[in-house]
Parts: sequence; C-alpha cells; structure tokens
Amino acid sequence: MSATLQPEAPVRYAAHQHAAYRTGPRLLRVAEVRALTTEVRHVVLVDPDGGHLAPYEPGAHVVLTTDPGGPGEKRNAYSLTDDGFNPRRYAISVLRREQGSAWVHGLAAGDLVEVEGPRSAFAPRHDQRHALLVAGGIGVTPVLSHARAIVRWGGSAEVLYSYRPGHAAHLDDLRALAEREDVTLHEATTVAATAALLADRLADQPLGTHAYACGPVPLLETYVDAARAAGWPEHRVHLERFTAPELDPGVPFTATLASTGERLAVPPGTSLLEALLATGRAVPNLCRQGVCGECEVPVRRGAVEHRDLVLSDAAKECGDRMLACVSRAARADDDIEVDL
Amino acid sequence: MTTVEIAATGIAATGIAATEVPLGLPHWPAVPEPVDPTAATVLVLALGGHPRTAEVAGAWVREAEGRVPTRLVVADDLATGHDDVVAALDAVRIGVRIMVVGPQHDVLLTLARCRAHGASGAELRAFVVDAEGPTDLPVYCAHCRATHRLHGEPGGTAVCTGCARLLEIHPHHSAARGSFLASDTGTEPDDQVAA
Amino acid sequence: MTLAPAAPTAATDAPAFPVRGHTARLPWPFPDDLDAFRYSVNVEPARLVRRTAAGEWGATIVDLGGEEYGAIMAERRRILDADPHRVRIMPGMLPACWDLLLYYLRDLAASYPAIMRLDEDPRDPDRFRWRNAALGTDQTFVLGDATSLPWDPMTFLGREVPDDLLLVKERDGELCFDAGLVTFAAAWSVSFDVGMTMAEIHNPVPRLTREGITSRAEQFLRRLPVDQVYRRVNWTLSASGSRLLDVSLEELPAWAGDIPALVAAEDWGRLQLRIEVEHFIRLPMTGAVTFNIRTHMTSLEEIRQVPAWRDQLARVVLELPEDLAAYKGFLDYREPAMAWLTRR
Ligand code: HEM
Ligand code: FES
Repeated sequence: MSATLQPEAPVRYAAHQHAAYRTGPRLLRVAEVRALTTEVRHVVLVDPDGGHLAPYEPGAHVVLTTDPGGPGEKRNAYSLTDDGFNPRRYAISVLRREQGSAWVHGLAAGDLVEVEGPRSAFAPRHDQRHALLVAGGIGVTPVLSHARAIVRWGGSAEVLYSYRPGHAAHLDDLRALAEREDVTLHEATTVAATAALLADRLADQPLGTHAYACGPVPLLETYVDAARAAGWPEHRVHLERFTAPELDPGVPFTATLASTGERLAVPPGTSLLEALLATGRAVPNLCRQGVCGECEVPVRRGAVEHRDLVLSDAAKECGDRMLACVSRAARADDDIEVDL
Repeated sequence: MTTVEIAATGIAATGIAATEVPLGLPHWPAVPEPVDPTAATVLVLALGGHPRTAEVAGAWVREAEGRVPTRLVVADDLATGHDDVVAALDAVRIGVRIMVVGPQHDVLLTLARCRAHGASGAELRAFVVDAEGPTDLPVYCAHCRATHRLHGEPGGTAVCTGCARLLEIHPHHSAARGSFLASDTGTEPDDQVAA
Repeated sequence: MTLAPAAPTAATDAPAFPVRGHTARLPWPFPDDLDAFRYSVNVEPARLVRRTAAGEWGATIVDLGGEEYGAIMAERRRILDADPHRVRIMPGMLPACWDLLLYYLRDLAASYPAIMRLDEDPRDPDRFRWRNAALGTDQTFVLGDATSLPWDPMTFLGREVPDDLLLVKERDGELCFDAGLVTFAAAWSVSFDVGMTMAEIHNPVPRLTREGITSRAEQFLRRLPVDQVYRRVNWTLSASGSRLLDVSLEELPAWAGDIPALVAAEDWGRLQLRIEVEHFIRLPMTGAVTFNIRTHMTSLEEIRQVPAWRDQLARVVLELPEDLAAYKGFLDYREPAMAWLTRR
C-alpha cells in the first residue's frame, strides 16, 4: 500500500437498485388502524408513494421508533402478520402493554412512522415437511405469518392457539385458514389444557416436522419441556426471540496513533476502521465483518475485545494486533495505541 | 451431528502439507453406538444377510425394547425392502431414532432415503459391516449422471456399469445422495486389467 | 479509457496498445501489490468499481459481457436443453428461486435500461412483464405461479443471464447448497453437489477446511446482512485451451485431452486464465444466500500484451505451493507456460 493519496476516490454504487429492497430506517404511512380485541390494535403501514415494500421471511419483525422526539422515545420490535411475499403493506398487531405500545395504539390513518427492517429472527425451515405452530396470546402474530406462508406455498400445518376467551386476536383468521384440508387448528383456553394439548400434539408429528412457538415465557417453557420429553431433537424446536443477531455497537474508546500521537475518538456504532479511514489513513479492508483479515492493525498498548473470526486464540491472547473493522477496546473509555 | 474440523493453522505457517485424513468421507463408528437415551421410539433397519447385521440389529432391539416402543424392519437389501422402509418412515413420529445396519452400499442409500423423508443427522445412527477396504458402494457417475452399485473404494477405480468407463472414485461423499462421486480416468478398462 | 497521471512506474506497466472490449472489462483477480496467492475469505462489497492495468470492472452485479452476451447465452441455452441435470432444486427451494428471479430482473432492468425492462402491473402487484431486447424475450408472469413461466424460475433466469446460479440455505446449523443451475463449472458436478453442506463440498479443496477458511466463509455467509451485497473473485488456469466455458466434470471426457495436447504442442498462448466473480446476496423473502458465479476467460496471449498482468500472473503461478497448484490443475506445466509468458 502506498502512503500517497489516491488520485480519485474509488467509486462504489449502492448495493440494491430497486426500492423494494430497502430495509434501513424510513418513514411509512399508517393506512389503517383497527381494534382486534379490547387490548390489541392492528396497524397497517404502507409506502407513502404507494410502492413495493421489502419482502420478508415468515416470522420476521419490524422495528418502530415510538414516540419519536418525545420523552418515551424507544425502538420496539413487532412481528409482521402477513406471509411476506411481495408485500405492499406491513401489518402488525400490537398488544397494549407499556409506553411504546400505548403510543402505537394512539396512531391514526395518515400518520408517518419510522420503520426499520423487516428483520428475520424466526424463519421457517425451507425443507420442512410439515409444521407444528404454537401460539400463546399475542404470540399469535408471527405464527399467523408462518401459517399464511405455508398455505401460499402448498405446505401443511397444525396450529395450536392458547388464549384467554374474549382476548384472542386473529382467531378468525386462523379459523378461516383451518377450513383448508392441510391446516388444522387446535384451541386451548386454560394452562392445563394447553399443556395437555402440547404433549399430545408433539407426540404425533410425522418425520420432517419442525415446531415453532411464540408466546409468554411459561408457555415457551412448557413447550420446550414437552418437546424434550417427546424426544424431539433440539434443531426441530424453534422459539421466537427478539434479540438482535447483529454485533452490538460496543463501548466508546479512543485510539492513539503511534506515529503522530494523534488521538481518535471511536464512539459506539463506529468501528476503529471507519475512524481511521475518516482521518484519511489508507487502511486496507474488504469485508468489514471480521472474516477476511485484511484490516489487521498492530497494537502497541491497550486491552482489546476481539470480535473477529480471523485471529487464532493465541493471537488474540497475545494482543499485539487487532482487526479494526470489528474489534474494540475491552472497556469503555480505554485508550488503545495502534502502530500506524 | 457433524463436526467441522478446524485448527491445524500450523500447516499454514510452515507450508508443510501434513499427511491428512481425507475429510470428505463418512465416518463409521468402530463399534455400534448405543441407543440414544433421549429417543421416544426406535426404528431399527437391518439390511442384508451378513451375520454381523443380525447381531447388531438384535442388540439394538434388545437395548431399546425395554425402554421405548421399538420396531425392526429386516430386508435383503434396500431394493427389495424399499416399500417396507418407506412404510416404516411414513409411520414413525418425531422423537424416533432410526438405526441402520448392513453393508455400506445399502446403509448409505438407506440413510439418504431417510433424509429425503425428513430425518436429520441427529435422528440417524448407522453401523456398517464392511467398513474396511474395497466393497460395494453407491457411486454417482458424473457422465451417466446416475448412481450405480460398484465395487471399489474412495481413491480407487471401478468400471462403470452404465457407461463402461474406468472411473476414479473421488473421496467426495454426498449425504443427501448417499453416493460417492466418480469421473473418467481417461484410461481404458482393459488397459488397467492388462497392467 | 482515461490515462492515469503518469507515476514513475506507469510506463512499463501500461498495456502495449489501447485495450477495449473483453480485456478492458476483465475482472483481473489480483490486487496490484499481490505477489503470492493463498486461499482466504477474500470478500469485498459489490458494485465497487475496480481499476485494472487495462480498464475497469465491477459497477454492476450482472456483467452481461458486452458483445459476447449473445454467444454466452446461446451456449448456456444449448447446454440446458441438452442436459436437464445441470439444474437441481431441492425440496422447499422454489420460493427462494422466485426470490432470486425477482431480485435479478429488477436489478437487470435498473442496470441495463436500454435493453431490459421489468413492468410491474399497478393493479396486480404479483403480475410482471419482462422484456430483454438483446435476446428477444417478452414474458408476462405471475410471481409464485409456476404455470405462468415456461420453466422453473431459476431456469428462466439462467436463460437470461450468463451467471451460474447457486443458492445456499441453512439446515441443522449447516449451510447447504440446495439449489443450483450451473453450466460452466470448473471441473465439478452440480448434479452431485446440490444438497451438500458447504463443509462436504469444500472438503476436497486442499487446506481450505483445515485452515479454518471453510468455517469462516460459512460464518460470513450466515451473517450476511440483507442491506449489503458482497462479491469474491476466484481464479485458476482453465482445463481447456480455448474459451470453452463448460469444463464441467460431467463433460470431462470431451475436454480432458485439451491440455495434454496443448502442452505437447507447447502452444502456451492458448492457455486461459479463468476468473470467477461470485456475488453474495441475501434474498429477503426466503433468507437464501446467492453464490452466483460469472466466469471470464482470457488467454496468455492476451495477458502478454499487458505487462503488469503478465509479470504478476507469472509470479503468482510460480510461487503457488505444490498442493494448490496440483488442485488447480497446472502443477505439471506451470514452468514452461510462465517462461513463455514472460519471455521478452
Ligand atoms: C466466502 C465463501 C467461499 C469461499 C471463500 C470459497 C472458497 C473456495 C475455494 C478456495 C475453492 C477452490 C477453488 C479453486 O482453487 O479454484 C472452492 C471450491 C468450490 N466451492 Fe467454494 N467458497 C465459498 C463459498 C462457496 C459456496 C457458498 C458454494 C456453494 C454454493 C461453494 C461451492 C464450491 C464448489 C462447488 C467448489 C468446487 C469444489 C471441487 O473442486 O469439487 N463455495 N471454494
Ligand atoms: S475488513 Fe475484513 S476482517 Fe476487517
């Protein structure tokens, strides 16, 4: 790598050219708000220009910024209830629980909402030969999405819905799906009946079935225990989790450049690589995900939290180098001296 | 369950290619594995007339029977037993562990059949009675684009019963197909016999 | 092509004549400063324009190949018509094939508006009309409806673009090559490999799995975000001394004699550097990841005209350790071939 400046900055075009592949934060318009039960509102969001929205895997969620600019500003994840196929609308069903969901309940048609995603965290197995879908209460939302996709693509499913009478969002939708031969619906309205139904249905699924559950923690525990008791291998037993799979933004720290003594602040969400590039230093890089090894920089001093997949355990232990695209200081506000 | 071998970064550093165990082959246990204690039911598939097959299948059935519902399907080979195997796979429920014993050719194709029926690695156990040396194997000939029963071993050669070419059997195995890959050596089968 | 401001070394590195077309578009596989090649997870963002000693490449995901497009597609279609085994789609992968088709048609329409067009019906969002003036395609179809296309969606796309199409999805914690349309494989077999895990596929490649590259490549694909597209370049010397793209294992008997004949005739100028550009896209509706491969070829005769390429290729090929040179297939003849290449 030469130290001289490049005569021209490299040209890089945006990855996706069609608007239907945008998943970054953007404003969507509320098209419809409807009460499903006394506590659950169904909110339909559309592109303000009427365009396609990004397709999504069944079970995916979107992240809404609730109460933007207000005291309760927060990002909340809500499962999408449609099948995700070439959508022109994103539909969510929100149970009134805390501040964020109360804010969603206050939305009206025409309002603009900041939405990020969809993000997939509860996807079906493409090769499943059959599905057992378990919903508890408002956990019905991703389950409905799965059921709809199965119907679209000609698969088969058994749905087990546990709810409190009078508080069953989307029960009508599930009953309508169950009119079809390849979808069966089982309903349970008490804890004991739910447990009995789970044990019964988990013991009677054909080879190649995958099971999916979303609902309150006690229901998920019952489900996992019953699946284990029925001899299900772990990889067939899926649960909805809302934790983001991405790397967390990390702690803020500073980096001292050995050659000049210059100190760079590296805030959370910014990588050391980005901070170095911003100062005009030509640090080689490719993947920016800690897999290619290109952005290795020598470290003179400071404890590093290694988040790459390149360095061996021994090299990490030794601490004399780091991959600038993902790794950071081990503790907040530490200083790392890099040999650049 | 499959474990991917990593490590051995030393090879990179020194540039020495150490004598390596081929990674592309199925691993056969030296002794039959025990019945999975987490199984809810057990299906034993015993293929072929080898005395060891009957012995291993019998031991598995005895071990499983006392604990969980157990079913045994016996067949001369996968071809004649195909319908029985498929009927058994249709009947089993999740929670089952399928244990297959017999010669490599039938075991590999039966495992692939089970996978096509939705079974996964965690639900399958196998023991072969002919793990060592050349034996009958399911071999996928890249030129006839079909699987044949050929006698040989990975790294060795065999004459294709489909296209009559002398094939090299690659140390490359597909669990989904149950077969080994093979391609033309460029040598006439007769040359080989003469040599 | 614009001339770069003359740096002290530029004079000797510049091509002997102004290059156009094929050579100017060629995705030269090595960074300027590379002298020794080893396998790594060499991925970079897609649509990054790379300058080479003879031109530039990389602005689009699909490279139609300029004036070569028609010939490549004729060859692709001939092979698909003759050999149905070049397409294999495992159960449950059809939705991913639709996801792939829609993504690519939308991308092509944006990249090549003069010849390609995708109309979306405002009344029925699932109804599309695809037109490709270069090949004369005019097809209306309903997304997800298999009866609305003359072929499955992967085959339909494969008959419009020069790329080999490969889709990867996770099963039991392993990434699996579960759908593929491949007519230009470099001595491997798509009909055998579809359905295999990444580890099973890469096991025969020396060092790859043992050095942890397979598992790192897998981690990379697992983490591939939906809002980014990545690419990777791979290379070898082709198993044929012509621009023949189909050097698949299936057709081995047809091409196996090419290199021995070329070596015997010491006709080194016909040897082809085979360059594969692979694109990784996470398709949003199914989460399937693409590993689509566009194969380019250039002869040693052509490379000899570009001094920077000539010298770099010779250095890299001669330096390569024996096991890698043997896997890539040129261990036995690399020395005379490279001697020819660099002879003044
Ligand atoms: C970042 C990801 C990947 C990396 C770094 C990688 C790397 C490699 C390398 C270095 C080779 C040897 C080729 C040569 O030297 O010419 C290879 C071969 C191959 N790769 Fe990959 N690969 C990746 C992903 C994939 C994926 C996703 C697939 C399948 C969909 C795939 C399919 C193959 C096949 C079929 C071969 C030929 C193997 C043979 O010779 O039988 N690769 N790969
Ligand atoms: S840029 Fe690839 S590891 Fe950092």
